[in-house]
Amino acid sequence: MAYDPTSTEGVPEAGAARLEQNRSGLFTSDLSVNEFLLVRQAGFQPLGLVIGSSIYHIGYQQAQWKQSQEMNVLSQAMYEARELAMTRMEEEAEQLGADGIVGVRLVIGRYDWGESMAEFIAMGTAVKHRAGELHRAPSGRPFTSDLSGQEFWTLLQTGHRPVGLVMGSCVYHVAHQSWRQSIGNTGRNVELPNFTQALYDARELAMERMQAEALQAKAEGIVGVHIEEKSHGWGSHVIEFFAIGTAIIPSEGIEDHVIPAPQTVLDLS
Amino acid sequence: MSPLFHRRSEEEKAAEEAAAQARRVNAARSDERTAASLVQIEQGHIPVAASERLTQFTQAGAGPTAFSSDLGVSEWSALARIGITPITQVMGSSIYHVGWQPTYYNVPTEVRVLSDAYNECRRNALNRLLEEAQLCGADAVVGVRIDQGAHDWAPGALEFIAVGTAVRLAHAMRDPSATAVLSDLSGQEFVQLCQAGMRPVGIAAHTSVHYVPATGQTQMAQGSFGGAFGGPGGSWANQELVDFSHGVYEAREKAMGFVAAQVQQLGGDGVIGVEVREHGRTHAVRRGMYETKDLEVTFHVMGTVIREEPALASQPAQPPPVQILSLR
Repeated sequence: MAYDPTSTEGVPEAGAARLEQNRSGLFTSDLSVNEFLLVRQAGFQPLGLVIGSSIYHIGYQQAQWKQSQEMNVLSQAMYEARELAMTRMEEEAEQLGADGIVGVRLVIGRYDWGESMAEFIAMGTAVKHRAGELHRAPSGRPFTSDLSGQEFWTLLQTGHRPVGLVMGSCVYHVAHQSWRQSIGNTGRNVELPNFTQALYDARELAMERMQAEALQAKAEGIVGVHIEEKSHGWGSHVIEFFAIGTAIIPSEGIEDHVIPAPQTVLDLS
Repeated sequence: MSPLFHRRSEEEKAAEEAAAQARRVNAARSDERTAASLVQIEQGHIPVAASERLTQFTQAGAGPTAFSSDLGVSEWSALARIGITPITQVMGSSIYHVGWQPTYYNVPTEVRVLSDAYNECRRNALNRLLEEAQLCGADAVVGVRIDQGAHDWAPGALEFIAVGTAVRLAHAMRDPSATAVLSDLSGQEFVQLCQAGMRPVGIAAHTSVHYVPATGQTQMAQGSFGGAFGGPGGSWANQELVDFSHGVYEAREKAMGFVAAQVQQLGGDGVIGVEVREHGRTHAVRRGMYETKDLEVTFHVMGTVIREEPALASQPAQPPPVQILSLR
């Protein structure tokens, strides 16, 4: 889905009024007190809770019983639905004139409606720098990050800033063992090379896609990567590898930044 | 001699009669209290026993009373350091029966019966919590937890339970305009916010339940029309279910809009710690030849309302945070 800074897609009439309220000064945020205070300490003002949501019908693909393969249709669905939710969230932040979004959470809601339907939600707090410092991503879009308020503050102290949430996804079908293989393994300690190989492939594909996104965002690196391995109710042998992290770049104008030494504390509790 | 064969004296008879009389009076009084409590509850107030217990805290001649609280030790000490003293643990609760609602709708609608039930029930619980706090002369309630209960003996009913610790604030921190402030912040958070020059002024919460019937596109994706279009398992093609996405947005906007209105009512500048809970479920509905799966989405939003009050900020201003590395 193409990013359009003027779009308020998905936002119904009532939503326009809410964004108007946010613009006029009333803010909503899911930051905790500590996060809120630290984000302010870092010079940012929360503007509003922004949410993008998409309910998506995931298509169908037949897997070969004996072949390890990526499930292209499913990978694409997971990608596209997340992208829809993320883009809508960013567009809402744009409406508020935000520099970026902190504490982004991506949630997949699966309810009683079966394996082919899922809800994708992206949610975070839109923030703006009070002194008007540049904090947007090089692409001109608001930055996104899944860092908490504490992590965001600490990252800024190190002379870096987040540019975007980057992710890679791969839905993979792991081939079944042949009858001959499973008989051959009976009673023996032995690695199952085709399973190992399949999981490696899937993870590599996901990681590679995440890195490609980071390169595209002109990032220096990615912090806080989470890798999730999940079966979204597609039955056995089909899994999704999902990698997500925050791409960061050095802040402008402080090349010789020294990271302050932390004090060590021994917690006696 | 066995008491069975004992002939009771006049004094003993009188004493027994007096005891029976006292029991009757007590039973009548307890019935009266139960009836009075029910009347109180019907009017949205708290039962008699609770109000009696709580008013003891404000009576001058009652002598010293021990405080009760669910504060942890560090929470209590953080509060005590800046002059916030606990009075008593307070509670508000309401069990609510959800009225009749149509089993399905043909156009996207808010299910007002359900939305109203959630909101009314939560409001009852919070109002009772507030009433308890006011009765014991509190300036604020900290650490309010709002839980949703469910009981097997009351199927289909909603329950909200709000529990917190009523506290008296240091004189400088008291809000001259408000009676008692509810806050779901912990003691430490409450203190930190005040020291940064912001005052928690209340809790804003709203629930909205929306019903979205499946449109043609969604029905086709779900495979409602049978094999010709998509096979029994539904369409093979990836697609967004636009109508359902829109329904979620509608429910969300309703809930967020009401929360924003509550913030303005409380004179707040914003909400922090917003908690969003969302739940969807499908309804199988038979329309003519086809069975469709419609969506019912429930959106709960809750947060702490705060107001900027620079005068509250600690003097001198708080130093910037220090980075620490915990050796635990």
